[in-house]
Amino acid sequence: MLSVSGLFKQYTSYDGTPGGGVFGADFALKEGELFTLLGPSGCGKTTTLRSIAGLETPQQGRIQLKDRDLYNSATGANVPMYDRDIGMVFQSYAIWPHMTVFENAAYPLKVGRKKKHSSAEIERKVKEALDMVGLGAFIQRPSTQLSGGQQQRLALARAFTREPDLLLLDEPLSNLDAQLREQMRSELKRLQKETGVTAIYVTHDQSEALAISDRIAVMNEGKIVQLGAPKEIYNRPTSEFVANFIGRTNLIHGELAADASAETIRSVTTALGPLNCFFPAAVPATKSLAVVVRPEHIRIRKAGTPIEAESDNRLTGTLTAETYLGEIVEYVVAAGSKEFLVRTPFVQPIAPGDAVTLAFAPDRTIALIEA
Amino acid sequence: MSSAPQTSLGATAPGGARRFAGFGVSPLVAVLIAVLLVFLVPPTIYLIQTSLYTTNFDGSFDQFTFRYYVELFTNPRFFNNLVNACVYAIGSAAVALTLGVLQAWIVERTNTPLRHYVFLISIISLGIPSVLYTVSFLLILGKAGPVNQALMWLTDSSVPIINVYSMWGMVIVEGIDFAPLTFLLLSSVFRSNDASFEEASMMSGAGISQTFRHITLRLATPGIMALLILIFIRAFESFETPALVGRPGNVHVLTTQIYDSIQRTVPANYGQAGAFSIALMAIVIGLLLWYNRLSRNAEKYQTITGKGFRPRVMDLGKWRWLTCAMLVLMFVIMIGLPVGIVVYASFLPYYEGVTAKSFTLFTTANYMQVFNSASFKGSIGNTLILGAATASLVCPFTALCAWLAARRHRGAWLLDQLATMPLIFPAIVMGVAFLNVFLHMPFAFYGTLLSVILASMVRYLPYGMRYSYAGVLQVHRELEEASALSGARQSTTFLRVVVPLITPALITCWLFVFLLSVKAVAAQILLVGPKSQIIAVTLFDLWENGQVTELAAMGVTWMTLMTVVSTTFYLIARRYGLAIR
Repeated sequence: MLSVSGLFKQYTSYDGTPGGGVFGADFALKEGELFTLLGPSGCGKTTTLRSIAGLETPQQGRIQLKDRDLYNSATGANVPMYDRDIGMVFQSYAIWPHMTVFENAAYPLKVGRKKKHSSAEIERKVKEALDMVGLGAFIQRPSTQLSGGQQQRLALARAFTREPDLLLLDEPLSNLDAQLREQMRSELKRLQKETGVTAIYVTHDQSEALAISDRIAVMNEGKIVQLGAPKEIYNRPTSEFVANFIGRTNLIHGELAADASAETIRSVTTALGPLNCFFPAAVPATKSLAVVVRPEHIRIRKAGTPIEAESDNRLTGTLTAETYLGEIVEYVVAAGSKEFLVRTPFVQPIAPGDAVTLAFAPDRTIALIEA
Repeated sequence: MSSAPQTSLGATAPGGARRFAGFGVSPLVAVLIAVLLVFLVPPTIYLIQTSLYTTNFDGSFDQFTFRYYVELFTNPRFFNNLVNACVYAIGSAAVALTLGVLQAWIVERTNTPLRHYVFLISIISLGIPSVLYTVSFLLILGKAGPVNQALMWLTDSSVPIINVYSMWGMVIVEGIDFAPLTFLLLSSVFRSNDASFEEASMMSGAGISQTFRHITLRLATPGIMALLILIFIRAFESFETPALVGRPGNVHVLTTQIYDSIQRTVPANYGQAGAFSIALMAIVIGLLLWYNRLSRNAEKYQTITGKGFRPRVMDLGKWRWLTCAMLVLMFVIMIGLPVGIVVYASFLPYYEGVTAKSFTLFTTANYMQVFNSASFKGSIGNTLILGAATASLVCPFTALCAWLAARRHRGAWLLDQLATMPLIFPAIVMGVAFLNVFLHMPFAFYGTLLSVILASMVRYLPYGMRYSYAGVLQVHRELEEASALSGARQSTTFLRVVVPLITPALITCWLFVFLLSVKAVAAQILLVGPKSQIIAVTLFDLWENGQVTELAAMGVTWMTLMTVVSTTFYLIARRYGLAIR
């Protein structure tokens, strides 16, 4: 479908010093997939997206869509953006204020030169697209009278009217308020599955990425650091960066006496005693391991209460703070010199100052090479 | 954000055949740069040549010489003129700023009654030719004017008390003339300040005047400073007031000296005019560089923030009647009296001050003469053509240049620089430069209306650029990118997305270029011929000939016409919610 290889683009700031960009990204999309580029600002995700769209010209690499070179530094091929058959939804929506809802959605059909459309055909297609996003009743409205959420839908309809080979979404939900964002998120996913369009979604919001994607590419400093399905990324981070960036995590420094092969459980020495850890990748014996445990993978009990699984790692500590958040409770536990964050839906009969026991399964205790 | 090269118009691949080899500049940008160079290079070269060669009677250059520069620095009048110009520029900038700041604050930040009309009045006053404005003040403050008459009556004196043909006369007249423009530019500075700063001051217990001094004024200071220099430059290079007010009183500045070298010296001393022009230009360039630095800082200080920004007005309570009275007083001084005296003079057979007797002599003879004169009608026609043609050429051209520059097309930064370059030519200097170009054309071009239009177009390019650039910057980049990804080529994007969105800015641009180009005299006075007379120059000549009453009738007719134009635009602008800046 879409394949990107060796994509390289470095910005130069005005004083000539090299700046950010993307430094060698490789990935390929499957037909009908929703693929997310996730990373902090400045990680190169937007540059990657804009290079695919043709809004930026890369310096190196190759971008292929349906076996056609959109860009290839080796042959000098660079298809202009109006010829790429890519639909895009912008962060600011980019709804033209001087056109009506209909005119906005019809624009791609009117200016595209690949095939001419009769006005009846345009009307039908626009109506279809607007109905699909639930804007059918607003067809003759001036676009300036739309709310933020409606503008978002219109931007989506406009990207769909062209029946593009590929849909690009550049942080499309970041300008919406929290409630609307969740609603649009599920609607986006529904529309994408219904139309079967292949889509690339760019966001810095990890929960959004986890909820919507078929696969996620986590980017940092211009490179893809991990690529996989949401569950894989969350439960089996392969680097300290990914573990920290996706969700909150507890981090313990550890040492490994003997080489560990991939997907095995080995004992790791830490300041809090030995812990049995899962190794997602092969790691040679080292003095700098990062052991990460998600707050929701830790069970907390009052000291002395029996804990079910025998194989679990166990720590004892003192409860220092409790935050009640409604659906969950957050506990902060001091164990040795470390503070642990624990999140659980079950309120425990404990109060700050109490001695507590923490337990977490070895396959939820991930050992990574320290960054 | 990105300093990366953009795909240029029409270019399909890097290094493609349609790009100019090596530079990657698109053909469109290259053509526009060439057009600008054609208009800018010859005047510059001729101006420099003029100052370095002796000129024959037929206008051709003869021998190379540094004589004019040596004369310049050994001539005590040069330094005298320079000092005069500085005093005059500082003085009038101070007057214009005081009036402008007060008006802008009252209009933008208080709930003073009638404040919204100040915009309309300022725009109307922009349409009054500077010559007419200056003349009206000479009639008010002159030897036979009502002010001197009143003072003579009060002090029982038989000789006039005040002499307007002096430095302070120039300062007052020029300062008041610049006040409307100062107000228009300052109002945006005041508008951009968040009211919560002022409200915080009031909540801390400060009164209105303390808040104005410590908060409002301080926040606006960078903007005001930049404007101060701008007015200083404008006054420094202005011609009308020094020519009509200073010269009769023997107060000369650089611009009047240049004019005299060509028009009042037989044979015309082009070399001296050239050397004076170069000197004046050098000073203006220095000042402009300073202005650029300051205005960049001013932008940094701008306090527009996206969140919770609301420019709001302050309730002055009872004091609002005082500020209202101040507005009315300013209106009387800036518009009422000048227009009144010109209207009055236009009905007199001859002007000799305001007396009871003269009201009995009222006649419409001046108007009859004006309306029946073919040369006057020609003058009106020429001026309207000049203004409309200048504005219609400048606006689309600068819109295209501004868009290319703002979107960082390769080489387009040069378009921006070139289109702003005419600012370094003071109006009279540009007149000298184009005079020499036109005189050296192989066919008879000097004195034609087309020649005046071309010179005027170059002169107002920077102004057009300012409005167009502001307009383009307001268009979010993603609006264009969305069009490109919809399958539109860049030309389609420009015509269907960019142009409709910057139309309000272009309308404003057109109006201002039109008004500025028809009111000026300095740029055109050296260029017009018998067949290309324009109103401002005709008025200037009538005053020099002492035909005050015909001048007045002609001025009133023209002002009426311009008021209709400005008001129409103002109403259109209001209707479409355009920002008049």
